Amino acid sequence: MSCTYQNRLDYIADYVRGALPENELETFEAHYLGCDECLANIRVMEKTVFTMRHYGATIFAPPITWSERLKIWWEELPLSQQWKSAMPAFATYLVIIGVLSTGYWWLKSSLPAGGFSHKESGEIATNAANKSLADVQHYGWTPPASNTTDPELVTRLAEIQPIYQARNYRVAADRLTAVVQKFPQSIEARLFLGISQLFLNHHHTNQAIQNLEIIIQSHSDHAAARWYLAQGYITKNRLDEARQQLTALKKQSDPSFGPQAENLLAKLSNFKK
Amino acid sequence: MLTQNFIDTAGQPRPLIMIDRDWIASRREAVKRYLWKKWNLNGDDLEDVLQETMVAALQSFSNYEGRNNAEPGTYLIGIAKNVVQSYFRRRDRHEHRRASIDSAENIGFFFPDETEAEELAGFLREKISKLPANYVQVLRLIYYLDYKERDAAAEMGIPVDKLYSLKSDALKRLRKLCKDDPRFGP
Repeated sequence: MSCTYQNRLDYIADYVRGALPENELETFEAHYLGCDECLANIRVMEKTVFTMRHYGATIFAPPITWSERLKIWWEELPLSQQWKSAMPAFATYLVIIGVLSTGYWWLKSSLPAGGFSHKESGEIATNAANKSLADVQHYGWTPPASNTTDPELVTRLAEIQPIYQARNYRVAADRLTAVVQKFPQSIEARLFLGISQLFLNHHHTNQAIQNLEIIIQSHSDHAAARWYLAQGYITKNRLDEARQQLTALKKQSDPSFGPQAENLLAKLSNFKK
Repeated sequence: MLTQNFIDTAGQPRPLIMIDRDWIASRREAVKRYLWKKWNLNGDDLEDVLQETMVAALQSFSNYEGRNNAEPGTYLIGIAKNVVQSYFRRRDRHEHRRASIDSAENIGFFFPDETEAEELAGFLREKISKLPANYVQVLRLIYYLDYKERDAAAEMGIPVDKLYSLKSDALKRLRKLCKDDPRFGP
């Protein structure tokens, strides 16, 4: 027997809330006592209508704002009142710890690995004294030399050259490091990497010296590399090595760096060994 | 329950509904609901009357002949009425009224405890919030505030027949949204 009340949820809901006329009540009751489908719908409608009737204030309340939601969440949080009152202080503590940690890591990342040793601390003081002695000047970078044949190298140097010329030494050094790793034979890349590193912090001076020394080992007549290597040595308070480089440079009689080397040697001779 | 044809006095075949023990036993929950709803019986009274009704139904079902598409539930209703009236006489009760869903005491009939009802309220709130505004309003007026359809239509400024249609659609939509929840399962 097919159900005559199929899809008549409203009718069933009316029965549940007692809104059916008396003459229809018995007919429907006689039906649902034999109909599984209607019995199931009655069960569902009883729960639904009962809940709407008794919890309507909650169900039909207007949507709450985020701040109210947050407040409810906070109130319903399963914590004792003691914990809840301590929570703001704990949150403040966490924020302070967070700020301090971030500052610490930021500082640490900009210092040499392991921090400054006592020796390095002394060097810094000496470096300050040598600041007037060292004379690291920007060295103009003309477009890449014609003897560079690798097209990729040419392209990459051409990209970095304006960055270097704009005195953006940190970015230039980062990019030149990658170029030197790929093209270790490129004197041009290594030279400007070394010079850029001289302009960066104390930690990078050692790297600058290493790069410039590599150039001198293969190109002992490279006046610019020698001049900036001497600057690096002075910065690191390695004055004897600086004198050697400047003496060699003076002997090269380079028109650009020769007179400067002579002047600097004179200054260094007055400086205690 | 079996359905077969019989030949009526005019010689025409007509459906004949026959009931059996299994069918009667399967209607226990429906009879319980009927006794609660119609006669407002609760607790031990309800259990006693239910038991008596089921026994009486099982004892006399062989006399039942559901001719002319009669609802087999009429058989159970007839027996239940006799049992209830006899029960009331024994208890010297003369009046009865229908159980109302308005009575919060009836919560035990639908939910094991109040927490489950509160959970369902939260669930319904979420589902109802997904319905169009006019559906929400009709559900609120009819089922929460207990408006008569005519008053709800006036409140919403729509014709009564439109309100009936809205009410039907809102319940169907709500049922569809809830159908996967086990609380609304079979």
